[in-house]
Amino acid sequence: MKAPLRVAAILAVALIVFGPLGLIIYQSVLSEPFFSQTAKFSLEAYRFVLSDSGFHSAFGTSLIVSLGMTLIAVPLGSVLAFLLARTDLPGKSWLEPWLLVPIFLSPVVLAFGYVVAVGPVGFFSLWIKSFLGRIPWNLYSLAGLIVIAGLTHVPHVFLYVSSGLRSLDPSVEEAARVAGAGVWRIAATVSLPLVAPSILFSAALIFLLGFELFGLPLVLGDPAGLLVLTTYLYKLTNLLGTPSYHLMAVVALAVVALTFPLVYLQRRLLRTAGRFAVIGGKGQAVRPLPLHFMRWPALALVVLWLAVTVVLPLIGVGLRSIVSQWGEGIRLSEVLTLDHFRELQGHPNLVRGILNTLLIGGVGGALSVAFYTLVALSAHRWQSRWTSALDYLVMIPRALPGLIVGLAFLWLFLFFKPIAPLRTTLFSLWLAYTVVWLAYGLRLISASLLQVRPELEEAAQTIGASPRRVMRDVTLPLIRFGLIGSWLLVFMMFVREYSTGVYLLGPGTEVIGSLIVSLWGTGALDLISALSVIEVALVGLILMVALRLGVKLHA
Amino acid sequence: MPDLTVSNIEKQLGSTQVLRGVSLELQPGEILALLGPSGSGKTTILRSVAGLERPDQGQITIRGKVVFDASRGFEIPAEKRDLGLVFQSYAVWPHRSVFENVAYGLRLRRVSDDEVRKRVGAVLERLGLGPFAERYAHQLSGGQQQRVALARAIVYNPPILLLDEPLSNLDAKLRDDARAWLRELIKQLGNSALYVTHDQTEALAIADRVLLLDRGRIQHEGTPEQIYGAPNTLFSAEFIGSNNRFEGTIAETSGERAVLSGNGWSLKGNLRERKAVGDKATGVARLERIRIAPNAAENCLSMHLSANLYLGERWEHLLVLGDLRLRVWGEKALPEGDYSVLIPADALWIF
Amino acid sequence: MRKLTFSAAVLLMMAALTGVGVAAETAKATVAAAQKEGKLIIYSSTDSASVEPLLQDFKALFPFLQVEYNDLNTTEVYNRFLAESASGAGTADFMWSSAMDLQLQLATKGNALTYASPENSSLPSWAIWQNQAYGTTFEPVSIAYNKRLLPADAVPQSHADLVRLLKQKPDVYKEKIATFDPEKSGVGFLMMTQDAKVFPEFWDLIRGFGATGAKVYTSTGAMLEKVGSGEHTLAYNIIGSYVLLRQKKDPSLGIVLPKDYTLAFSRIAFISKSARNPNAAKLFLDYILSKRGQTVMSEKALVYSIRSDVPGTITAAGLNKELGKAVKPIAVNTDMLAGLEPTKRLDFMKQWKEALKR
Repeated sequence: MKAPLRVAAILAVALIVFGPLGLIIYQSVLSEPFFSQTAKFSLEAYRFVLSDSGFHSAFGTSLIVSLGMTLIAVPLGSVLAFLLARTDLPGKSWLEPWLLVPIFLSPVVLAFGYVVAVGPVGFFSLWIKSFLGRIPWNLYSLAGLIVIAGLTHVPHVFLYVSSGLRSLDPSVEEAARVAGAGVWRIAATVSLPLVAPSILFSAALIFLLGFELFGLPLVLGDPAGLLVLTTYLYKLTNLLGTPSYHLMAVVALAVVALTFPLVYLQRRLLRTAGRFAVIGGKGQAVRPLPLHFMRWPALALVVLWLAVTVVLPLIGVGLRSIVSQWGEGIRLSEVLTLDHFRELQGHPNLVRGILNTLLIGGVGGALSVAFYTLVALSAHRWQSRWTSALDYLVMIPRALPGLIVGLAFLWLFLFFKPIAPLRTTLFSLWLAYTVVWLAYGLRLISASLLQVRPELEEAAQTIGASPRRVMRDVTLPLIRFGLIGSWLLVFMMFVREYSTGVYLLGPGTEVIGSLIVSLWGTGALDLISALSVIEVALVGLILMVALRLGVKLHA
Repeated sequence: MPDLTVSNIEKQLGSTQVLRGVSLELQPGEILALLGPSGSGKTTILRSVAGLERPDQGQITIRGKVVFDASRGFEIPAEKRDLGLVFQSYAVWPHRSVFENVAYGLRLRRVSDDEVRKRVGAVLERLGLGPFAERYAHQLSGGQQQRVALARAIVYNPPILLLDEPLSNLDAKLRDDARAWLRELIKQLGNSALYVTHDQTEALAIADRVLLLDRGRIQHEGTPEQIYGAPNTLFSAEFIGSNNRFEGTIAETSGERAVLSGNGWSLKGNLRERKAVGDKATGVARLERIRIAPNAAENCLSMHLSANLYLGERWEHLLVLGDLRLRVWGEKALPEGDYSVLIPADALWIF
Repeated sequence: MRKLTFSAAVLLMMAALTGVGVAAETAKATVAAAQKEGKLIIYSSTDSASVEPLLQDFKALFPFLQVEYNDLNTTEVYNRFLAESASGAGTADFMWSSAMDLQLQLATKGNALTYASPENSSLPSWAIWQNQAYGTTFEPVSIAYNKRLLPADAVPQSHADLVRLLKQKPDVYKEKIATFDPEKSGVGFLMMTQDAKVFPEFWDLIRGFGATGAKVYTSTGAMLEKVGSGEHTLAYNIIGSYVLLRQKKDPSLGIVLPKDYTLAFSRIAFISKSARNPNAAKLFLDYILSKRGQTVMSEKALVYSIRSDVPGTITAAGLNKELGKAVKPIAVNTDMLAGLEPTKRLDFMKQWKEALKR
């Protein structure tokens, strides 16, 4: 690939990353929203936000939630990873895809499912109440939020720790076995310490994700009056009775100031994570560590986690979509109906939302993957300052929660007149999505590119193929399968997306996720549940196709 | 005119100086082996010639045309150098059939379809790959893949063939057969070839000339017989063949001869490096030149038999004298006891 | 004498006919212009479920118009309109919201088109502000409750009732009350500030809410959902029209129109001055103010209409009949803007938060 084209691709990335960020910074130092005629340079917004007690408590809550969910997700995820990657746990092969399901479910859908299942009048809560006389938990509390956030983020830890465990040379564990150590001792003294970098990395990741939570605190935190930084930002939209964009910009920057160092730390940890990997050996079949009588309790643990984190909320969502009323004093068998789904048809914006979601996921996803491929190929086998610049560029959208990126793109399209007409089209949303998932997409494509051994390209080169022909004849055909897999994964992520589209929502840019957030505000739970079921069905379908094709869900 | 001239190339990778000024010439029709341990820089030389690495200093000329000159910042990219390269891992494209793999080079050179079919067919036949034309890499054995890589590199008649450890991924048995027909094939084709390997037997068998490399520098250059029979440094002596080592000090010198003495023994040998009396020195003798000889006069040591090892085609005896441990070949097992071991003075090189 | 009266009558009739003729002519011109525009963008806080019958009937009348209906909450309607017009981006043609104060503020800032609708004469004078902002409904602010779970003696019939019941039986209401969040909701703020004006025990009421751990929300829909499920058993200051509509699906919902006073608010509509489709907007305004539109509103959407000639109980006349003097309409004028002034607003919110203990 010619150098100018490579540089152009990287500059394009810089544009779509710095554009929104720059606008946020610009807005934060104005005294009023940027479109106001009387806006002038001022640090008033900073003064207001930083001295607002609401901001302080939102900050503190975010911190506590992040910490709490890390403390729950990391140990649990590591244990599950060990069980599935290293032991003879029964049912391993079909359990594993289910463990990753929460990643592909929209947090609003999950939160909503929890409300219906274990909320104050949830069907499961009422069932327990009939035995115990009371409900022993309170969903709408800080503890409830932390527990749910922690449980739903176990898959992220699982992914990294299990891939770390899989790249270990099994002989290190076998040596411990021969010396007389039992399974749990091996886990505690050999396997898990050797993947300490992966564990640390996922801890940093979960802590980072804690600051970016939006759907869960919106649904579960609001009723308790709990605000985290993202929902505090969301509330700021209406604080003074006028759009307080300058305040929102400051909060956005505060979030970035917290998350950016975390992203940086994460990358440093990623480099050391490969340190202990001893890939190779003769590739003999790895005999898993035997659990003996612990097999069934261990399986029970996994199934319990699955039940609480996946099955419970999904049943909640499913049930709500087929009942006309619910809650205390209702007999479920009397209120079954498919009306909610029929009602969807009567709302043109909802139908449009479903179609738009498919469009943006399928077509948009393909276009995004094409863009990511272009960028990845630009950095492929090229030692240059540009490639290290790209590495840092990519960290920025990683540090921005989707909500803020969507807001920034709204401003971008309001600010620059030439592109203003595009705001009400799916293009604006697609652009925001592409930026939000830039790091993820690039990582997927890079993983595929890594599979292409350099000799395969060099062989073509020595035979006489120009760099462009090498890309065409060797590189691209060899990553074809990886590209399809990446498209399917990006498709799922785009369908699941909800926060990025919130500020860009309007006729023409409706997608299921942002519609659910908006409908949540109006309390139309029957519509929300019907939409959620459709979204889960869509994601499930794509997931099945991906698994069928053998796409690796690790990224 | 030599087919290839490499002048004084240097290359640093990271903090290691991989090549410290290497020069060589490859004559038309000659097979030149680059032999050395890992890290000696031999593969880097090959890749520099191919254009896949860029030296920091030096010049490379192919058939009189300069393809690389560091002083001028001039470099012809790899795809324009028209060479053939066989990779250690074969690098057969998994998404193309054997036929398409081999045909690629011709298609790039815009050869007509008919011509392509003829020439590819001929090369495949020659290498015994005729029935595999429509197969894919995963359906081929290691040896077959290796021949596909070779076919792909020779089909467009490049002036120079570059081979990067082409046999090292084969099983030991296949290797012995392969080196025979490989030399035969290259000689038949008439191309000159640069052959990288770490296996000294392979190098001696295949090459017309051998370049022995260690840590980025050429240690010894010569024909296989010269390399084997007249090593110029301790490294060269020990790298080739199976050897016994004698650590000691110089007792006397006289011209090309010297006496090396150690703890309880003293031997005459050929002095290969400048040494003075009293200097520490190391003696090297090839295993096959030492034998148990009961009635020998000079250079005989009385040693105690420590172990007998059966190697199939011969026995190997382990004999000890003080801190001297020698391996000697023999026809049959020997009973316990002391034996007289003859180390002919001509066979002992002192460095 | 008779000859004079006869000529006068003829003259009068001709004048009337000409007047009607003039009206008919302008109407035709508007329709023609609207046809050219072909599109109508509405930002509104009226729930999609309620507005559906109106939109369908409007479409039957003017099939050539493609209506883009944006259902947003009251603050979103206000913010988006402001942000989009100020940055010159395309925005709504027709603005319709129950946050009367926010709508009126936009109108006073010069965002509304001056347009005398032919339906003017059928509306009460206090519902029209300078031919720019129009009150289109007359809806009671009610109390909703769960018939299944709230015992009959705990259902308040008036505001004073509620204050008393909260003091007497706090356990019944513990964490079971829901109401609007004036901080996040425009219409919520309006209702609470108007309450504070009219009800002397208002802050006692809010302190009662605080003592029983009441929860606040930004939409009627959310509150009705929770009352229906039993998570809450009583919702205060709920838009009555939505309760009526919801009762059709959920028979366990009950409604109370407080007898000591019931606020009645009017959704305000205005046409944007910089509308890209002003004539289409005019047609829509005329429609929802017309007898036909208001009847559909009352009978199908169950939204209380404001015209006096609409039959039925879900009308201004019906409400007045049922409650008599207790009805307290919020007039469409600049009086309500006082509460929006930033310091007053912040003061109110501070007092609110303290009373509610949040």
